[in-house]
Amino acid sequence: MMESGLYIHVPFCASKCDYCDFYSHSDAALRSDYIDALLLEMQTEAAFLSAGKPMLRTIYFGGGTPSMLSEAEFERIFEGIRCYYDLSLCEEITLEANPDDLTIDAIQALRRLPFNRISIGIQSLNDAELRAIHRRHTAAQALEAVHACAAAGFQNISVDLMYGLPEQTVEQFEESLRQVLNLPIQHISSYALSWEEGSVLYAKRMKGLLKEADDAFLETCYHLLASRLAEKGFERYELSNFAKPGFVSKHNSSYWDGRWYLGLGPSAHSYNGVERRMNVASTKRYIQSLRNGKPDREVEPLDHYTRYNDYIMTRLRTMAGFDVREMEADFGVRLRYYCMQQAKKSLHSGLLLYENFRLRLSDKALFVSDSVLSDLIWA
Amino acid sequence: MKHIRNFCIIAHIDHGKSTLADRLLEFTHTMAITENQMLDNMDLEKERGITIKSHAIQMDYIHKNEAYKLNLIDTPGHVDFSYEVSRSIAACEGALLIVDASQGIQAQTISNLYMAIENDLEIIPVLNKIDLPSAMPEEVEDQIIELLGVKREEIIRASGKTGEGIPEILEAIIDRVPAPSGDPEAPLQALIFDSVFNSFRGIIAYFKIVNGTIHSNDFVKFFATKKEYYADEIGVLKFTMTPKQTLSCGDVGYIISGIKTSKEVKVGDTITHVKRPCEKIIDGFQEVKPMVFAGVYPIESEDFEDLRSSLEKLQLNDASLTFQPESSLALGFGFRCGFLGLLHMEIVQERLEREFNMDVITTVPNVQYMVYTKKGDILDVHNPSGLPDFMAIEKIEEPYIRASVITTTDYLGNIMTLCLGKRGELVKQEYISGNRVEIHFDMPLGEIVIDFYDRLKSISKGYASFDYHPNGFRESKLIKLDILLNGESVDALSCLTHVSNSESLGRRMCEKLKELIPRQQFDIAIQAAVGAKIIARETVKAVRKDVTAKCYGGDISRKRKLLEKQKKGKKRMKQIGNVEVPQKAFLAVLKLD
Ligand SMILES: Nc1nc2c(ncn2[C@@H]2O[C@H](COP(=O)(O)OP(=O)(O)OP(=O)(O)O)[C@@H](O)[C@H]2O)c(=O)[nH]1
Ligand code: SF4
Ligand SMILES: [Mg+2]
Repeated sequence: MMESGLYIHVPFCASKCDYCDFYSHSDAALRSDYIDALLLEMQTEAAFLSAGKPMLRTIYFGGGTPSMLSEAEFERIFEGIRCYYDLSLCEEITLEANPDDLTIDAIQALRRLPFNRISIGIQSLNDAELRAIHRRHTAAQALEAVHACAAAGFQNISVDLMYGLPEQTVEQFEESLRQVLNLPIQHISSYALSWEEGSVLYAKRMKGLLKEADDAFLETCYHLLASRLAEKGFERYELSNFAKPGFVSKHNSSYWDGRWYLGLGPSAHSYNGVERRMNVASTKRYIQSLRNGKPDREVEPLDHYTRYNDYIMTRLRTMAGFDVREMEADFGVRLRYYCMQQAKKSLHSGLLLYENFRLRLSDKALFVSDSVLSDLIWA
Repeated sequence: MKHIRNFCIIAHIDHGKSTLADRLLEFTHTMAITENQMLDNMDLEKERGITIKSHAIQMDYIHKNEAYKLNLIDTPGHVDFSYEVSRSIAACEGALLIVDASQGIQAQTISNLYMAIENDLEIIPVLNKIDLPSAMPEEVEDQIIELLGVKREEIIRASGKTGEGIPEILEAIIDRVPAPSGDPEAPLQALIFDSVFNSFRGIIAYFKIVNGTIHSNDFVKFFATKKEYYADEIGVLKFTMTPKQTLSCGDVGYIISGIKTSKEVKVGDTITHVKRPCEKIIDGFQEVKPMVFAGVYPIESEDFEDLRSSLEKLQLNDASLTFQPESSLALGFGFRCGFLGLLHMEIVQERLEREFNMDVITTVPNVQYMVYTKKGDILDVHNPSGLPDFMAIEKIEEPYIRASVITTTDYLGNIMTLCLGKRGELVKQEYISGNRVEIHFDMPLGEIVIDFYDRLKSISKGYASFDYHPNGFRESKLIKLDILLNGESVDALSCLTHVSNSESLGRRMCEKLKELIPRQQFDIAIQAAVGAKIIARETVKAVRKDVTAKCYGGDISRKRKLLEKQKKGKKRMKQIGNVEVPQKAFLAVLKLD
């Protein structure tokens, strides 16, 4: 696999959203030390991908809130990247941004930087819903931000939209969706709100202050989403991702396609076909450990069966599924046989489809796919 | 022989037998006590903190300048294992009756005491855990005096924690327990009171010599099995097995003679010489009979033979376990196993899983029924699905027990209600002392098998102890309750129940199963039926969402681990029709609230 992905985790947020369990914090004092560490890491870890200057196909700044960084800070980072990586074939450079950071000035600065894709965390266009999850922006800000980005020349804009927010009604979600579809965007990621242990939301639910949306509600929203987006010419290429033709997220797709990626920054994940690893989820320890020359990270070597499990799980998330002959080429006839045996039940019930040697999820399986996938898993 | 004392330690569960044994072993320098309850050497005993098997060990002790051999047998307290106590008693002349000073006399205190008295043992009452702040020495002594008719001075106050009273106990053993009697010159007559399996040496039988003398390499015969062996090795049970050339009347020891299977050794049998045999066998004890039966099935049907060999190996060490092959439409091929009680069943299942790595499904336990057919046959039925057609049945009899519950007057009302609700009949009620009462009930064993202990414990807040013994069979109006999943009857979930219980049992079974069966990709109807009549119904609604939507920043591992966990969970489920049923659902009936 020649060209890889580079992910950069920016762990800073101005305040914490109630549903958040990503690694982020508001200790901005660490910012310059963090960037020093990042530059060090991108130098030493390039070898994780290949010898010499690895070829990058995509770069993705995720967080946290990467849009908090200043133009000067981004410049330092890009300078480093150019120094250690080959960008001559790089196709996509994405920034995750929060609407409240996207002022006219900030957008102008981003345009001067190499970003060619921007992913905006709108989440909802209902102010009450936004307040309920403690987002920092309002619906008006979100709409403005998207228009401003488009006006400034961004031609590949994605937005995030959530369903299953506290107290949300189907009508409210439908209304947010309707407004989103009038925006000048090419890509939508839409997730059900997840109630992660450790988030404020989870604690509130435990105290009985909030109620989680039920499955039927989420299913309704999901089907609504899928049908409205299809009408508007968005193609569902992955469970929760929809794109206008030609605007599939290349970076995120590489996770499902088995491409290699290097993650830099606290809590970032990497994969190079041989092992997966995860950096320590603490900015302080991240900085310290890089300074000491002993990066603090968990390494997970991948054995045959683990790689098979990854394959099943990632390939079946995409609408295209996978060709079992290719699978056999990688994992042997025994696992092909195992896989097909385990698939029987779902093939019968129509949750899995098998045509022309391709195994894939049917539409009706998408929202209940975990149990279909886990059937095929080796454990 | 004058210098031998054979004694056992008996008590209600958890009153501190094994801990007191630690102190005795320590005081006599028999072994260094490096962990609590040293004699409980099985993993499961350690983990659960209970004794499951009796353990025999010899101590040397010098008293008034004379050397004594003291053979101690620690016994289990739980009612399921009371046969272990009865065997141990048969090898002894005396017993330490331990009573927890904070709890007083409990149900097994009394049943074990009666067993010891019936066998003519000298009883030494010991008031244990005297160090506890909650100890009530006077009050509990009053109870002991009332029960045993002893003098207050005869009760020894002790603590397995501090070691208080240990010298007094040893002195009492020597002074009060009679030395074994018998004639060392008479023909050999040795009672087998236990046997264990050792993977290197085969079956090792523990015995007590009642008359005569045995030498290493003697040619001996086991009376009941009629098998003859050379005594490859005999010896005494110290910290480790210690070989001896000769053992004589009164001695407790072991014999290794190349026996391979536990069936060849019957506990209670008599060993004698092939030349010069004794005339009759020693009055042993009744063979243990299983009380509850349940199907044990491999989750993966191809593991059937492995399960058989695992059960055979378990049986080597646990002769009270019985099994025979059976098959179920829902579960395939498996075994119907007989257990002494629910704890025993739980332990067997756990040992299968831990020691033999077998994933099994255990079905609803039931008792043994006597079925009289119209043709005049009498059938022993161990399994509801083995029942003949109801039209062909004249009557069904079910086993009864005589149960004894000891509690305080505060909980008497609740316990009465519980027992009467379980078809119990009050036999008598006696005050032990103060506000403590003992109530005797006759009730069907089948009612104990299903959620009795837990409820007794909860309604009495733990202040009730329970003991029982079998008490014949009685005719009952029993019917078969079937459970259907999506319209298909699941034989492994059927049970026999009294007519009066069927409706509520059916309802509660359905409710419990609804809780235990995870939601799947379609609705699952759970029904309870008697014959063709549906008496209860619940539905497990189909899952509408089962997907981890987010796979953030390339974190593949987290989601993979989730799926792997889900898969492992599934592997522990049984596919019945198209429904995945978790292992524990088959025991749902035991966990009804
Ligand atoms: N304070 C105090 N605790 C004790 C004493 N003797 C035993 N214990 C505790 O009581 C519990 C039960 O002790 P065991 O010696 O296992 O009781 P047991 O009678 O052998 O139990 P079973 O064999 O299961 O019937 C343990 O937690 C002991 O630590 C004692 O003299 N004083
Ligand atoms: S902006 Fe994103 S990373 Fe920051 S707190 Fe909110 S959800 Fe978490
Ligand atoms: Mg014990």
